[in-house]
Amino acid sequence: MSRFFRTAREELRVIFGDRAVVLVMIGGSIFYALFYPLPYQSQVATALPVAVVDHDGSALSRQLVRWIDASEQVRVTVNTHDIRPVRDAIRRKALAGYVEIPNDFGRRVLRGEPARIAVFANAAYIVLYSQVANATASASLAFSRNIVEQRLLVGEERSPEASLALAMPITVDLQELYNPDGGYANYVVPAVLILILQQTFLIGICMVQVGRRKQGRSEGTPSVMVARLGVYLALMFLLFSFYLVVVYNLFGFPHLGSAGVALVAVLPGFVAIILLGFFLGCLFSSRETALQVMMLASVPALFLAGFAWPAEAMPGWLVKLGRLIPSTGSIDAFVRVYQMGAGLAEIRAAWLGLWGLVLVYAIAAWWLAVDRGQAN
Amino acid sequence: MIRLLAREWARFVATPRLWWFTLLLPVMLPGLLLLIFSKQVPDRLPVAAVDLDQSAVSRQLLRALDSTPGLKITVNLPDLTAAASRVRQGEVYAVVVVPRDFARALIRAEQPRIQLYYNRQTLTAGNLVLREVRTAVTTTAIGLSVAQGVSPAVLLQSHALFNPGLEFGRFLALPLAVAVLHVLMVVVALDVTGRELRNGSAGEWLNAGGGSVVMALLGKLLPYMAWFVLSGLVILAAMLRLLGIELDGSPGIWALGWLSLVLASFGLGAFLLGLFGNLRLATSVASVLVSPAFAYSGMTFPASAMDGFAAFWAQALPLTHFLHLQAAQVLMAAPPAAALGSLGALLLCSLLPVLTLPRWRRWLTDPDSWGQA
Repeated sequence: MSRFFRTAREELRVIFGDRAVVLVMIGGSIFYALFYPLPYQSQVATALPVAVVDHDGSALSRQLVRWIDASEQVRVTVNTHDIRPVRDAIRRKALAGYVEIPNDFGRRVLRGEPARIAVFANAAYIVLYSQVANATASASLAFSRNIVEQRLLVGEERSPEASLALAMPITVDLQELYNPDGGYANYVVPAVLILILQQTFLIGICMVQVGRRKQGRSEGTPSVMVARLGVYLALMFLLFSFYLVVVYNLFGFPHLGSAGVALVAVLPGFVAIILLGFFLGCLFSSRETALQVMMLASVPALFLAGFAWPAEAMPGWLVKLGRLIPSTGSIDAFVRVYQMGAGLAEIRAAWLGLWGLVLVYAIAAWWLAVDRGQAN
Repeated sequence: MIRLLAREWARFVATPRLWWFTLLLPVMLPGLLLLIFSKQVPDRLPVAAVDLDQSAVSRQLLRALDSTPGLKITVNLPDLTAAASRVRQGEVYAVVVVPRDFARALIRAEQPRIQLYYNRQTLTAGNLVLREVRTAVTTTAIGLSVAQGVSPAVLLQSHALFNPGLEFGRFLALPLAVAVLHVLMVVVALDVTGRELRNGSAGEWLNAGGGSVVMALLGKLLPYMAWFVLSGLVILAAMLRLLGIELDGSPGIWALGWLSLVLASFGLGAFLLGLFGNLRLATSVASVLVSPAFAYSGMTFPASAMDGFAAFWAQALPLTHFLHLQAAQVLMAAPPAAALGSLGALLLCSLLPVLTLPRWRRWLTDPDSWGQA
């Protein structure tokens, strides 16, 4: 046991005696966690500028425009008959989209015929499109329902409730789960935090490993590996706690789960990350290579994780391949436990999968260490 | 110059790492992104149904939902508790609950409400499910109204400009491929220059350049820049082809934009190494600039919604400028003049190394600064 602590203390000394490792592993973990959420800080885009091309100009069309303008997501900044400058403004991104109201709009509504309007939004940026399309859809649906209701009330002897029901026989109650405001930061950052920790630790561990090999020291026995693993695990948990306490509070990210369960959920993932670091550390020939490789790997790793882009939409074999990266399963387990309040039983498959990875990388790291040890 | 080029060629041939950086990864990384987004639009996203009514009408509604292309009702469950657990297990993105007495309420015109519980933690998938359910239910509802002789007053038609299929490939795969190529170019610029200092061969490098720092830098970086300009254009053109994108704007401006991004990326690399004179440190700082660059670019979360520092930082990053230029030229058929600002910003970035020339002179002539890892 005393040897375990001696090895652990020695590893700590190596880590903190190495400016480069401290800079990336500790500094990088803290810096990126505070830097990454900044663009998403406002969570949702509001008041996107849209135009109305009103060929009608009737009282009804003006009323519809007011309903659209009342939505939080868009703001009507231009009201015109001329479509050309509007199209130009969209190409210059001065406008996110426009609503076109035909010249017979008011007449058709008064005659009781369905009047058609159209919304055009910039789908080269899908977030802009969704927002403009959603806002105008909600506004025009409500406007339409209101008119039908009035019509029915005026036309016949009906209760307001019955008129409403006829205007829209079924309604959908939307119940948002886990991320009530649909915030972008709430969606991206929890997953990215895990990825940050993985990348910085892989770099740091590889740097230490390569440095050690350069000095001609052997990789050590399994008990040495376990002691070193303990050191990195403790550091990871320390930084992870910093995320859960400081980063979450600073940016006000909501969460349903408890920190204790979250730590259990990510434990196998973190062990797998460290063992993968030991393994890769044996492969890279220079300290900078780890840095370069991780810079290049982070975008693919993020999208292979299956949260930003649904795994259902990826080829099956690629999803399986993506599970070899510890962040994939770790993000899945962490997000479901901490954001969505899942119990450990509900993440069982992902959790056991991560332990499987631990086994794979433990064997790989050990085999390569022995192999390199003999070569020395 | 010939001496420099011959020397660099020999170094390149002897360094497998550079083969990866210049030959394999520029094809493999965009290829991987194409595979990830091969299905352009997610379809048949799994949804759970809780049918508390079990009537002909409720079954009809659920069938209508199941047959919308974006959704698939994968499981029918007796109650919400069981369904909520499926969401937490990551098996479904949403739960549709049809209330008891749904059919009766419909006949009595009591406006029954169905509940859609949808996962907004996975925002992209959750919003897609929301859109599909809303459309399907509204269509069914309008159908029912019309059957009773009531027609809606206003019908809205949505048009997705520049991306009619709402494809995520053109929206994400293409800019992400550029983002990884940008990282790759900065990494290469730092690697080929930084290793000379690290391995103490900087003096030899300067000699091959006839003692001129500018010559040494150009002779080293120009071949890589030329390679990335050409191979990048081929790779991106191939991606456009595979994603089924017709280049609507000006191909010339787009190519000029790419050339400027290559210059800016190598410029950024040469600037940072000049500043720090140390491969590892310069790469660490470069990582801060280029790794989160996509998040700041405003391709996903709108740039107009960023505030303060983030808005400023987004404008300071070369990637932002090229990605918006590309979207404007490739998808939006924007006039060439719209690209001027972006091109200017990129060219400004490519001139950055000029600021560090005095420091470069020091790194190349002072053996004490060599060999630092």
